[in-house]
Amino acid sequence: MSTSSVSGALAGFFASTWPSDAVPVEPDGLDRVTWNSLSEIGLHLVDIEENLGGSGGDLADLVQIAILCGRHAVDLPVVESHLAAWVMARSGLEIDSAHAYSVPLGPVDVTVNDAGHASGVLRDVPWGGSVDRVVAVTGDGHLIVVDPARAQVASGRDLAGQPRDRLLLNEVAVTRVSSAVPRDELVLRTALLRVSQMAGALQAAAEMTRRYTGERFQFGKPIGAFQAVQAHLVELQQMAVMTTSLAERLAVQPQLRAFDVMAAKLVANENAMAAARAAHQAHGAIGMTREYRLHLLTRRLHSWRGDGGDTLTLSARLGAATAAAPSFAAAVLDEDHRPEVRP
Amino acid sequence: MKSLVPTTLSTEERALQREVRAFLDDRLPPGGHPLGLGMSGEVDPEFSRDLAAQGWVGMALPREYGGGGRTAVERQIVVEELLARGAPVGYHWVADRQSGPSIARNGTEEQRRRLLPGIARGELSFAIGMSEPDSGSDLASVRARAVRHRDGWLINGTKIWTSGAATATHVLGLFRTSEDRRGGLTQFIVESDVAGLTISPIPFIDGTLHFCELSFEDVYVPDTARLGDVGAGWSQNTGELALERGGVDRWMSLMPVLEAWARSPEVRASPVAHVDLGRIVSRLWAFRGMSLSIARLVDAGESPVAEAALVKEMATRFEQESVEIVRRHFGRTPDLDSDDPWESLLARAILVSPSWTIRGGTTEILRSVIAKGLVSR
Repeated sequence: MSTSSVSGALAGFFASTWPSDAVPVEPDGLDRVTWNSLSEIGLHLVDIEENLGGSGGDLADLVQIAILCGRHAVDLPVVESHLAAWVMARSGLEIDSAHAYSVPLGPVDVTVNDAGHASGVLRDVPWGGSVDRVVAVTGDGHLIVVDPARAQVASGRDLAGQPRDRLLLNEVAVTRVSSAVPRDELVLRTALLRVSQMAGALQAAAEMTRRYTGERFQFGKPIGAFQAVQAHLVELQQMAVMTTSLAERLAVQPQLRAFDVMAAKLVANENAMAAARAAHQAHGAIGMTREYRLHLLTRRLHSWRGDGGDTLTLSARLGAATAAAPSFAAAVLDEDHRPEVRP
Repeated sequence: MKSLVPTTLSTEERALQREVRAFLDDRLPPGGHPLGLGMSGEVDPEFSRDLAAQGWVGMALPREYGGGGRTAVERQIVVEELLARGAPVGYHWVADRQSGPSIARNGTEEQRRRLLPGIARGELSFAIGMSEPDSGSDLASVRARAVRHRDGWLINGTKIWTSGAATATHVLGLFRTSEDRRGGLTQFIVESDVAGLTISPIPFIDGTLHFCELSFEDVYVPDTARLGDVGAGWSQNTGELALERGGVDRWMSLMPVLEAWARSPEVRASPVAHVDLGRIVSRLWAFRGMSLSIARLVDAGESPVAEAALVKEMATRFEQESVEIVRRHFGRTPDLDSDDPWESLLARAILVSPSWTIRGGTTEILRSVIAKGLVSR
């Protein structure tokens, strides 16, 4: 699959499944009908080898799918299911292509006893109570697969109104194997896919704002005719183009380097903040309501800023690594000499 | 707007990067040259000639005219290393970036043979005569006039705020040849020692004398000084903008300051500084990726004017923000006359950084270029 063929072929599927004129509703659990139509195509299993139960394709394809998920404010755990299935497939576990999976984005604080029973807490699990399985990589390098039906689920929502749950495990039987994917690598892939989703949401926010400011008349002309309003459109476009370039740039690297991914996530976080502000300012009061669709994008942007690296942690770690590296210029210019850093 | 296709450096391009780095480590040892802020680097004709001897001036010019026949990406690799060191690029900068490629594209065979080899040897230095006292961002309003005279042209008028004209061998200027607002503009290449041309430095805000006013009084130039067709000046000038705006020089002015700052023991020990340094290094890393994609578009024969404007507008504002961040950590007001070259350079950056969002297209003009690009989608 080539990048253009992926986004071209799937744009229609996304546009009809998540139409841009749909009335926004907060999800109430996992919409199994839509999930089945998506999982039948195997969208969440792209960049997992077919002989491991995946859909094939490469990281660039997967990034395009995540961008589309962001553009269309998809209310399903596509990215989360991918992350879980990817770790499982890598670690030799069979994946069920119909299953919805998720991973904890917060700390994994779990111990497993000799009988294979897990106790502890999985925090910040998107759709944690409604997916089929939750997959976590523990501090000691194990991968555990949990059936949330056996866990005590404390339901919550993220800033975008999407389920984000906490799972309490009390001697729950789990599948446990040695994880072939270190925790750091999972964090990096999470960050890359969040950057991609943010890029998509920024593209959609830029387009929505451009359309609105062309249609909204005040003082006898479209507000987009005012230079002060155009400045917001320009900023939105810059943030969308830049964030898209970050996601696509990471996808063509031979391997995901921590410095690159963390820098991209940090920039995406800051871009999301600036763009959300500009989009709301250009929209005025209507953009502050739940009847209008802008909040589907900006609330997700606010929420995703915290996943796979928050702004302060990322900047502190990248800065410390850069200060310790032999050359500042090389950090920027030289792919072979990026500072060493851990996510 | 074209999408910025992601790209990485090839093996050969990375080898060039190492080669340039090794040469500059040797030719410009730390402390051995006056530090410059990006394209406003010192004027050092000897350095420009040495660089040219390596084949790194006029790289992207055609080989048949003495150029390197290399790509925009290869040129960017060389430029990045120069700007990272605050190298004295002032003598050859404009000719290498802008005037040379414009002559290669728009010039006659005779002009190419006469001028391009000298540019590629680092011997010719160009300045750009665009702005006038009453014509800044509204470039189509220029009034300095060229009138046909005998077999050539007679030029009268004033060009102002021209960088490097006092040391340049040539001025590539935009002059009015008819009353048609845009269609009445024509470019001329004027030798700077020609009779009737007076070049007077205008002291810049940091006390330097690179900024100039050019007064043309009955300056006679032959018709062979005309670049391109009569009336083609506006579109030729617009074509130069992607070259002028999209490059790494729009976010690398501060690199020598940042290098020294990031290396300092104070920063290494300060978690507060780490937070700021992390922000700066990440955003520059991101801009670098975008500049590289723009250079690839140029190599593909595109003219990514809107993309270049999009990057320049935000990159130059971020450079200014970075000056403020470094200053905040400096702890006292840096001294322009300090013996410490990096302290002096920081002081200079504080003074001159407002120019970064003015030169080469103001932030306001760039925003309207980008906004027009959005409407025309």
